[in-house]
Amino acid sequence: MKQKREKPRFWLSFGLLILVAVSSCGSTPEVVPLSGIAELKPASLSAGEKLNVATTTNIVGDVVRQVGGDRIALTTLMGSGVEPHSWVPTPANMAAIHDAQVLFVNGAGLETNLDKILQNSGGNAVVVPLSQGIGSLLPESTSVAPGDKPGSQQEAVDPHVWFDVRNVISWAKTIQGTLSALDPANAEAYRANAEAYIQQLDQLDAWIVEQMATIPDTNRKLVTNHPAFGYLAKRYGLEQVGAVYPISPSSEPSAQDIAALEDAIRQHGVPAVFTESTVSPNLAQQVAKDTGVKLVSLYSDSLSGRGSLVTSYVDLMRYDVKAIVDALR
Amino acid sequence: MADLMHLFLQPLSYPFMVRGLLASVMVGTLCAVIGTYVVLRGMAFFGDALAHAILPGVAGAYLLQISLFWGALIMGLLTAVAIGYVSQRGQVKEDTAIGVIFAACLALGVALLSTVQTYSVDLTHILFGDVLGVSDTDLWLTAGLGLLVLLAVVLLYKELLVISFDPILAATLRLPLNALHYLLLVLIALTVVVSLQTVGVALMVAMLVTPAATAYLLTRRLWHMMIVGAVVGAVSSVAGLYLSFHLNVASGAAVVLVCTFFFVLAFLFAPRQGVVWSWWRGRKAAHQALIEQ
Amino acid sequence: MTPTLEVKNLTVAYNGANALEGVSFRIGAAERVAIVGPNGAGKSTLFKAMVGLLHPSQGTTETNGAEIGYVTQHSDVDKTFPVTVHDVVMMGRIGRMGWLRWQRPHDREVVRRCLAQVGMLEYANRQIGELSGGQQQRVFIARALAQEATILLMDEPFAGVDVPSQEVILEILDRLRSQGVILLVSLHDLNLAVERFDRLALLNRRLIAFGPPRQVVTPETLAEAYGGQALWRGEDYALVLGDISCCDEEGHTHG
Repeated sequence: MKQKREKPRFWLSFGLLILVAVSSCGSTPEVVPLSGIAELKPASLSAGEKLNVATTTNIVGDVVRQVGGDRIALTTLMGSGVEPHSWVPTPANMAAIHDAQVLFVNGAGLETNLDKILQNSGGNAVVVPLSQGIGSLLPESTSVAPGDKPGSQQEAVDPHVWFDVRNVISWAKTIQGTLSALDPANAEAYRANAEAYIQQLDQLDAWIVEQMATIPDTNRKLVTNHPAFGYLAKRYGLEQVGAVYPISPSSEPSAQDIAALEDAIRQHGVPAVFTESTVSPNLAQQVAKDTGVKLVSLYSDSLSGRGSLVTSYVDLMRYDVKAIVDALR
Repeated sequence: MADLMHLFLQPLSYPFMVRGLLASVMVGTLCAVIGTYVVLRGMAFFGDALAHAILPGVAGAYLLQISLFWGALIMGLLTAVAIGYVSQRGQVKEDTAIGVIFAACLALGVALLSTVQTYSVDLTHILFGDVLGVSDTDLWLTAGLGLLVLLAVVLLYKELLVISFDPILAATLRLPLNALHYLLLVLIALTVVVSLQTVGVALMVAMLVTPAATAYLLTRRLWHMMIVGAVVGAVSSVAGLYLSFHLNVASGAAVVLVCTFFFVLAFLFAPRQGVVWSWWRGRKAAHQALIEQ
Repeated sequence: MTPTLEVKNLTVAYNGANALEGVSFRIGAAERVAIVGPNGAGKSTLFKAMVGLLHPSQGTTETNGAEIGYVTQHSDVDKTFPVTVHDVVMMGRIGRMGWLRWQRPHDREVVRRCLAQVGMLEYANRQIGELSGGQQQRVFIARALAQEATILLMDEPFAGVDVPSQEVILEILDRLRSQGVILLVSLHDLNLAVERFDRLALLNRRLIAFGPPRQVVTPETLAEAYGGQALWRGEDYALVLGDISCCDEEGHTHG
């Protein structure tokens, strides 16, 4: 007799549990347009609680840290050396997104499947794509092979906006605005941090211009592992002649692509081929060997680990520019 | 005519194509010769399993920062011996033993690789080959190990023949059956490891089985089968690579498709066993019978 | 030199039970001996133990230096394997060739001779699968001869072989015996055994009887071997039924 009564009770509570779980998964992080940042409502923070901030790439993470300082609790999802184009979030990453109050992403298609990830993670984070509001986004088109695949390159945009320092200055302002709106208590600190950082960035920009000027005109040609340096080229007067992986690091070049690249290298008299920390250098090594040019390694999509060479955005830019200038001079 | 010459010569002006062609020819030949045993002894599943089982070896090598080749080699040899041992024990059928080990290794490899979030395209390379990225060192390794395997096949030709055709005779002749069986597994493992860069894991079994199967339809003696298989394998590899260059398709896949094309030709037109000849002979006989009435 | 064969107290265990128990016999001169018995009597086990394929728990097999050749049943072999008749017989020479060696003219000569002995020389270049069951069996006999064996063990050589081919094989066995070869042949056909063989060994795990056919085939021995399924009709003939579990035994009368 007792068993009969308990059975329906069990199923009822089980069903309720499912309903509760499902309903709480109804929320999705919301992408906020640039114009909407000023109108963000402050997040509910208890006394002494820091704003929970997450970022996708570690380059974004570094810039956010510079502005937020120790007033925020920052989680960077992609560790050092992680390739953003093919990043797949771990369960821990998904949980971090769910728990965050604000998520800064690079945007412009750098993080693949971002929409789906946000839908799946749930949570109430405010999502800020830092690449919006950037002056002009360049198209991604460095494939030199004949018979280009139609459509894909015209629509795609180059997401590596941080290679133009002025874009990162713009990032800093957006970040400051967002943090101040969500955490007005610390607005003054954010403002001061941002100001100091932007000053640093201005100096960096000037330094790069000065350095690049020392490269002879005939050598201003970049051949890299994947076409990440479009903004660098445009701002500082170089030309992206070609890339080993013309579309993205996860998409194989065909034999004709490589043949065309080697031809281009010879034709333009390019002095060096640049590899990157996040993409396998194997093919680039072969290309450099076959064409007899130097092989130089750079950092593009990720910082290196703690305690190593390139731990901040500024470090990355200084390192890369120095390496490029040395190789091309 | 000049156009044809150009089509033929153009890829050869790029060192990476020349290296790729050399590697493909060596691999095509080697796989066909060893593939003879794979086909005759029904070991296609074993070959496929071995190719996939190498994944954790490669992933481990990544994580430990040692050469991928050695990771693949050690894993390949371990798996071959493990499968040999488990099948011998007889507690489960060989088919089952292979299935279990195959799946476990593949899962282990995927798990390990999921912790490596950089160099992502190399997973594609492992699965589908990276013939365009063959270096001089790779070529020497392939040639050296390939020669070693072929040497073993030549020197132990009659012994391997006997254990494959009539193990009972082998036992009565006091041949070391077990040792030779394990040796064959090791030779197959070496072949797979050496060939991985050219065709990749997913298509490996095709290189082992298809040229040898084509040769099987065309020959009556074992060493003829090996030679014809080697020729088919080498020609398919070259043709496949040329096709992939001019048509912009994945090289591993192109090679396998050419191999399959030759197999279909043999299947249809082989002098004694081909479908077309059998049908034609049947018609002829029926026609004869009709006349004689 | 005439080969001699002596089996002493051979006992072979299989899955816990004894498949063979204390089998002993001696064959001193060129003889044709038939091993008969019901299914599962241990005939194959006896051969395998004699030639080293199975390890006896007790007992030995001794010869006076003569080599024992095991003739594979043609049904045990993969017919689609790309080997010719010549290749198959050449395999028998492996023991004489040694590691890392090739066929020498002498080996080729031996192969030809053995093929001629069984009347299969003109088929030397045919693929093994192109031959009939009887022809294949003859090739395997030739292979055992190529081993330079003077004691031949044949496990059911007449199974799946048509009657004319059986006759051919029996003729070959006649010739071999006249050349001094000991022939041990396991059979199902009791008829054939009694008619064409010098001595019989009646086996059912133990050696129940060994000697000339008339001595071995008696109602008592048959009853013991075949478990009460033998019916004895008279002095000149016997109706023998194999064990009921077997499907390919035929009952036949002996006139």
